[in-house]
Amino acid sequence: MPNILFDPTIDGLARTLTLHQQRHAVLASNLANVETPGYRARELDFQDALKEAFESGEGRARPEGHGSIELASAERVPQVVEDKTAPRRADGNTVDLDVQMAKLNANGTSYLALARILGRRVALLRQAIDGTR
Amino acid sequence: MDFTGTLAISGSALSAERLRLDVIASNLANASTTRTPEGGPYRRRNVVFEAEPLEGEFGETLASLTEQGARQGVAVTDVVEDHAPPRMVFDPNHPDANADGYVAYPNVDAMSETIDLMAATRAYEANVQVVNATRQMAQAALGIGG
Repeated sequence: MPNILFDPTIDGLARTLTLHQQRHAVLASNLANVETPGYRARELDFQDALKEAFESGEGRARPEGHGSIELASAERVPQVVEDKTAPRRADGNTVDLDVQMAKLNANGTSYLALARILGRRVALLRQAIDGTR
Repeated sequence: MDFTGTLAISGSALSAERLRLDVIASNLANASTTRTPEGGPYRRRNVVFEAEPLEGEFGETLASLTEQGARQGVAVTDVVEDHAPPRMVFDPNHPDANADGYVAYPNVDAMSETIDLMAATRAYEANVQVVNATRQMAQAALGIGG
């Protein structure tokens, strides 16, 4: 019987939430420096990191063999890269207010959705433990 | 969960933009000031913004993001005077008129100050939005499993 307390979905969701939070911090820095001359907009290599959070360990059983999937990359730190797509203003700043706000909102919304899913998942677990509704 | 660091970033931007608003306000308030303690007309002032990495108090993962320069607040590192020449207006009856009858008025251009004012206001609003988004995310995180 798989050990539900080591649910890979919960692990993956938690890691994904952390990634979203880190990206939120990066976007917040960009918006804080929207008027700083010479500041270059930054971005997290988000897609790759997300993919890794969920896929890298797939199919690899734990040595103890209790059937659950181990997620690797727990120590992996997402890379922060300069956003090279953004055009540079006259003062050398590359922060585009609209683009950054859009990213921030999309990221925040998806964080809220993930948090809700994770909450449901935990609620299911609790229901199983209680045996009641 | 480290939302306080993000709030510190946005907070630094809010206070920097507010200081900028103060400077713009004093420029506009003194647009016609011909006497100052230093002598001569008021000189337009301008803020210098500088990105400022936030340090310490984060977990290891986040600290490494800090090393990568991801978490940068902003600080006003200096308030400098604009060295553009004063605006000379012919007004021989003015007490501060020079020998040729010209009065030196501050080098403040109301139009460009107003544009700066708008830019500062928008930047301030954007950072308030970030604070709100951070708050929502923190609330959602606290609600997990609740």
